[in-house]
Amino acid sequence: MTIKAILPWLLYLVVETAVQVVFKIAGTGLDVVDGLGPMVAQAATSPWVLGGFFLYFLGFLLWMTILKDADLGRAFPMTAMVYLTTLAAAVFLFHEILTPLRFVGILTIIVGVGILASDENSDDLVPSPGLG
Amino acid sequence: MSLLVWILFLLTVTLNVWGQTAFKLGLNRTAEGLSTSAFWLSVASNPWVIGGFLGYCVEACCWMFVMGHAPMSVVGPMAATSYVGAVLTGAFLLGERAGPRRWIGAALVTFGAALVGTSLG
Repeated sequence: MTIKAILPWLLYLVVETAVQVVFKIAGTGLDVVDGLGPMVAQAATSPWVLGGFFLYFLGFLLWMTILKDADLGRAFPMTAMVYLTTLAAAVFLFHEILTPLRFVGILTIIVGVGILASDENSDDLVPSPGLG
Repeated sequence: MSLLVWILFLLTVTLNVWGQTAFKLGLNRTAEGLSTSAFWLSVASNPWVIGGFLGYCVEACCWMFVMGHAPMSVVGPMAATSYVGAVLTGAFLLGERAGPRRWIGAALVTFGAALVGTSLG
C-alpha cells in the first residue's frame, strides 16, 4: 500500500477516535434536570458540542470517500479498529477500569466483529462510520 | 446507567441500523465509475441516503448524551450490537444469504454485549 492509499484510513481512524473523545466530554456537560429546552440552549453554545458535531460530519464525509474507492470487505475490519482506539481512550484518558467481566465481554465482542468482518460475503454488511 | 440513558442507547443502535440499511439501499443504486463530483451529486440526491443521513443526525445527538452519562468502555463496545441489527435487516429485509459464520459472529457480539452490560453491576 502506498502512502496515498493509507492516508484516508489513518485520517479516518484519528477523526473517529476524536469524535468519541469529544462526544464524551461534550455529553458529560449536558443535563436534562432543567428540561430539554435549557439543555439544547446550553448545547448550542458549547464549543465541545459544536466541535463534536463538526468532527462527526467530517468522519462521515471521510467514510463516504473511503466507501467509494475501497471494497467493503476491506473497509469493514478497518472500522472495527475504532473500537480498540476508543477503548484505549477510555482507559488512558478517562481512567476507566476494566473489570474481568467487562474485559471478557469486550474480547467476546471483538472476536464476534472479527468473525463478521472475515465473512467472505461481508461486502453486503455496510458498516457505519464510528460507533454511535 | 439510568433508564433514560438505556433508552437513548437503544435509540442510537436502532437509528444506526436504519442508517446502515438505508445507505446500503442507496449505494446499491449508485452507478459505478462516476467522477467525484458526479458521485457526490448522485449520493446527495438519493432519498435513501438522505433518509439515512437524517437518522445519523438524530443518532449523533443521542450518542453524545449516552457517552456523557455512561462509561465509554461499556457503551463503546456495546455499540457493536448495531452490526447484529445489520445482519438481521440484511437477512430478513434485503434477502442476503447469511451463512453460519455470520450468525456465529452476531451471536458472539450479542453475548459479549450482554456481559459488558452486566459488568455495570
